Amino acid sequence: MKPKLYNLPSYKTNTGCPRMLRIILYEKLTRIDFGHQTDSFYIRGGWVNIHPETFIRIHHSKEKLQMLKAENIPVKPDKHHFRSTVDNLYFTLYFPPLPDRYLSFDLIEDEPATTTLFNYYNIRINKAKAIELLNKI
Amino acid sequence: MSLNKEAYIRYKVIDECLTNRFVTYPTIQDLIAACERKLGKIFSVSAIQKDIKAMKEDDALGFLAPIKFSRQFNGYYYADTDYSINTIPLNSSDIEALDAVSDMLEAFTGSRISENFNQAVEKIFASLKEKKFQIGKKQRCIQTDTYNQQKGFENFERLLHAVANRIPVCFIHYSYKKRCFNSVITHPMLLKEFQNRWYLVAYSEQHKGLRTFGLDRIRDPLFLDKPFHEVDERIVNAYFSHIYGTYPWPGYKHQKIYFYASALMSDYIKANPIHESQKEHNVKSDGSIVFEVELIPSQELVNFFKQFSPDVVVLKPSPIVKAVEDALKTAFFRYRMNHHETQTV
Repeated sequence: MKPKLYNLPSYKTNTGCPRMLRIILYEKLTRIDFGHQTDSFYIRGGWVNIHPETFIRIHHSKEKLQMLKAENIPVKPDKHHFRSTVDNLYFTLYFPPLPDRYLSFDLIEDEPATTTLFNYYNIRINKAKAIELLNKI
Repeated sequence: MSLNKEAYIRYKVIDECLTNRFVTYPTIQDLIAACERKLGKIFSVSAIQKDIKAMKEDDALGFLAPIKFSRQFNGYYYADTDYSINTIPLNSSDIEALDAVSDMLEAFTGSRISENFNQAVEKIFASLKEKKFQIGKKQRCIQTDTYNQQKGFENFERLLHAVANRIPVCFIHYSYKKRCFNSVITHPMLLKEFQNRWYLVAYSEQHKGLRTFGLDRIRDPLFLDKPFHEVDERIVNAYFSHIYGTYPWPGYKHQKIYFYASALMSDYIKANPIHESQKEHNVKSDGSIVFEVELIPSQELVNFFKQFSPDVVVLKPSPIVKAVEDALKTAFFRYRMNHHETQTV
């Protein structure tokens, strides 16, 4: 199977959460890229990290995919402190492979949801919009 | 001499066959087969025989390879078993030519291109060093404007590959101006340098047109397996024919821009025209000149006027005058503010 790109997927999340930029389905894992832009809500942009128990919950299925790896963002309790209100961070989360079909899922950092958690709901994978990649991971 | 690239590959293949310790005395058919495997085309016996002759006898080529034919083993061999064309030292004209550009290459590898290119150029330096010692310590002849900590060059080779092979690319782009990340699907057309910074010019699916992306703002380019959206080369060339810099103001067409330059700056601007359309519109008795250029307004043009203010003053059109004025007012205000804040630094 060639890796598949889902660019700029649709989803629902809290204001201030990182932007989900693209989802890439590899044969053996799922990669999700995010970009975070700080604003003046927090002093000097605040800080970020990711909960180690972050998971993907596939709709209409009991399947949960536990996060395998976080790249360029610290895993809780470590923190990345921003330096200003115009700072930014690009990071990637890796999960086990998503099924290669039409589906919707949630990406949950923790529950119950709060305004500061990176929870994303109703992320849609439309197989018709997949773009195959030439290169493998 | 100008050495045909394919011929040089054949010489290398023949050399590899003749230096192979495990399969000695290759026949002419072996050599033909090896060349055909490497280059994917058919070669005649006479073509390979001509190559062998050239390797043996062509002074300009410079190999003078000791290739012999063994009747006993019905194959070719090097009379000098240590010989290989790879061990041929550079001749004097090679050295002279490489020496002239080595400083430039050194600066280039230090800042602009990726590891694979660096390695290739380092091999040339290694060859040169031995000769340099023989010539004596060489004084540096060329120094280019480089800064080794520039971001984005790690993707240079990958993007160059995409441009050369017409491969669509998806990358993460961070806009300094909008302060946001985006994931864009592009069809790369060109890599362009302006004032020691590199840019990718590509057709953007999202913008449905040509766009310029600074390499320092590009992350994680991925090659896509989809048809390439070709843009006519004339359109790509026209995109840059009326611009100073890389980021034209959206929605503006090329227009006549007039600017005053003091006598001092006029000399520099005459010696280094900012664009091929540059004309001297009005020369005054004090040596100052009003220049005319025909360009699409761009951020880099505004920066140029800011940089050389007050020796350069843009006269019209009014949107550029206002952009420069606003920037200079802001700068003046910040200098005034900082004058008070310096006490706390």
